[in-house]
Amino acid sequence: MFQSKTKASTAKKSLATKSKAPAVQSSAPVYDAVIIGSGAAGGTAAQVLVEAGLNVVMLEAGPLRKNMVDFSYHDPFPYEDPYRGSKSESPSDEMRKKYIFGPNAYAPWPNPDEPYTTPKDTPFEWMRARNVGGRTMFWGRFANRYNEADFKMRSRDGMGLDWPIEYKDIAPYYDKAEIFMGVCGAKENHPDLPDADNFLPPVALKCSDHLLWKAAEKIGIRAMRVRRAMLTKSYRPPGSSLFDKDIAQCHYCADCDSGCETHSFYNSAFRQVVPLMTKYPKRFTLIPNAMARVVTVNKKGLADGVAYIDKTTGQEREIKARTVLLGCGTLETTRLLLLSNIANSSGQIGKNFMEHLDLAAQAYLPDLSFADREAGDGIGGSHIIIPWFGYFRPNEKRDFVRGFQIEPSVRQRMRPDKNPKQMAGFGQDFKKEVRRWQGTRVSLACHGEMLPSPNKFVEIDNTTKDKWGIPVLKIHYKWDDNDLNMFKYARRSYEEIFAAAKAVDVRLPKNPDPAGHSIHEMGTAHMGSDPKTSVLNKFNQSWDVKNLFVLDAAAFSSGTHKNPTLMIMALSWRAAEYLLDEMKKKNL
Amino acid sequence: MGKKNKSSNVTRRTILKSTASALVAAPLLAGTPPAQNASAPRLRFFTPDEFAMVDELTEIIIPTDDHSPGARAAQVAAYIDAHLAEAFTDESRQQWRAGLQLIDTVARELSGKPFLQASAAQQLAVVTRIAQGERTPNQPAGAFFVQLKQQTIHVYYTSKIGIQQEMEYKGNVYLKEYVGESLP
Repeated sequence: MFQSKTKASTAKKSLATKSKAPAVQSSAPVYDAVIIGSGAAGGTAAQVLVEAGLNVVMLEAGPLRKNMVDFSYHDPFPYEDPYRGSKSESPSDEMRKKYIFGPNAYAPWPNPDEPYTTPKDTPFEWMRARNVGGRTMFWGRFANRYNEADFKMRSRDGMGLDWPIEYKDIAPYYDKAEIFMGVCGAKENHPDLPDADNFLPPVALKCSDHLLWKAAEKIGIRAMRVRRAMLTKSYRPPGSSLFDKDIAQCHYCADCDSGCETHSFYNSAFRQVVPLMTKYPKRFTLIPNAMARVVTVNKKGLADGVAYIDKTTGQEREIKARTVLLGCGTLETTRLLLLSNIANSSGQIGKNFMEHLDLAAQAYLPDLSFADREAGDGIGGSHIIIPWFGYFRPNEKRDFVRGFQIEPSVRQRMRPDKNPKQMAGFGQDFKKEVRRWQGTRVSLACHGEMLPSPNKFVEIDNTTKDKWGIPVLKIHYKWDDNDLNMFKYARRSYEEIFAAAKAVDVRLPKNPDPAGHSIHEMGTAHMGSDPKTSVLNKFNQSWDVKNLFVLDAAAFSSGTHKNPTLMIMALSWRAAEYLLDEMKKKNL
Repeated sequence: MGKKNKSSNVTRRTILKSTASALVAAPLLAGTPPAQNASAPRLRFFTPDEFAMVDELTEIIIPTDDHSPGARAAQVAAYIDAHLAEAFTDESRQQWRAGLQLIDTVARELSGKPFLQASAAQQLAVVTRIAQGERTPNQPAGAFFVQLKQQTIHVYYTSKIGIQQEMEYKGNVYLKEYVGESLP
């Protein structure tokens, strides 16, 4: 366990000026809770705990962005740059480079200060955020509920793990998270995606949505309106104390991937962390640029705080707290647990690692060349989703278990959809031909459930250390037969949908997208009903260290094929309420 | 990077906020004419005749039609002039100058006149002739046509006219509502 007497005095000094909760054992202030990580998990727990009256300190490994200053949001049009973008990266690219570390297609920039390793033959593209708000600053915004069966799939097909909770346990927290974020959608009575009671109005469909919907229908695949954490009207979350006025509705610029300056989609930085700092300055403290090194433990075996590196000075500091909550993003949480050498009597930390099977394909739909572009591009991406359709094919024999959902994407682009430089000729016919293809490019992407296996795990790599002297993570992720068989089936489904939509120039990938591309790391510190075989109980609480909680997707027992953020928020909300309850009962 | 981009970004946002979307940040490249009328830009590389040729050639490649204005209105030739003036090496400047001489040679072959003095139909014939070289870009005429066409495409489709009028792009701005499409 970590002990550092010399550093403790520094921590004491830094905290002495803040006069927080009354000291319990020493003169240094002790917070009710330290939350590590400021994304969906940390932001949600912080909101619940601070509103309930607790003194909370939050550590974040990156800086707090200043809205409209550090973050570019919309890119300038190329004609506003005298060099038409040929000399420089766009502000959005620059922003991503500063805050998001890949490498992958979205974030090709490695983080040389904080590396990770993989075996040579199985690369894993781990995309990390280093900023307050974590990856919620640019997430996909899909808010899809697990269904009853999703929690108990091992009981059905013998693979993976069951969750220790059921749909009815989490449903009230889905409600809370959805109401807080504001989720657009409609009741559809689809077997894969349970309806919610509190949807904001669904966003109107685009031409392309109608076309893909009909195409899917033709081959017996049911599409539905997309459910995304997008404000389709100005909104103030009922029951929340954080907002004095409405949050602006979406302005349909459709460039959500660059972030949102009006915060019309949920991000934890400006919808939770900053409002908490403003509203509760005495009860909530944010410490940015703080790289957690180890969870400290007292003589009773309870967590009593965290030692971290202040990245701005390189100095190590300590925070003391009655409870420690981890929401660093699945793999960083697991790295911290392994480095702290705690909560692992089951030996399960690092195992049961899952992400989603992704594959991106594109084609052109000539029928779309007649679409009216006047309406704009909506909420970014398609306004429909194709949930897993295996439910409608009960008698089909498949060579894989579980399923996937398809997320179509048709976006208006500034530049021609079909590259004019590859089209022959010139003059009016040429110009018309370029125009004819505009708005016809269609992409399909999917998230498929991958099963945990001995091929998928993470461990500490003691041969490599980051800039702060902290050993890094080694990520092992090798696809299994089930994953690859699902890939082939999904690929065939794409082919059928494209064919039904009379697509041309279809480009289907030969392999799934590279490992890590889903940016949905899950598992590695999973909850279960048996302390011998799981890391956490059903309230995200460590079996071994009862005042330690894991709030993020590391707690997931299975990955399903649903986007994880809504589940992270629901679990974190539930864990925070449980923590409050346990404190009231003097169990914590 | 960034300063120029950032400042233009702020300008754009200010513009958006004030809803005067017709305004554009003043061009920073000296010599790029601020007005739509490209008749008399301050040239930095081309001679006036060369500029007139490029202006005509780019307009032939992407002409004004009933849908939107073409390369001339989008000031493609002025951008190419500034681009070449600032090019790091002489190579591309020499290629363009030689290419334009080649156009004149072809024009004399076909019409007995230099390109600028040829009729519209004759000018079209000249471009049609060199465009045949598109599939054999290793020949001088083909190589120049490819260069001319690619640069015209790049500049036109990154221009305000290209993006807003020709491609009818409606994103990256503030909209009050999303209307959507209903099926007939």
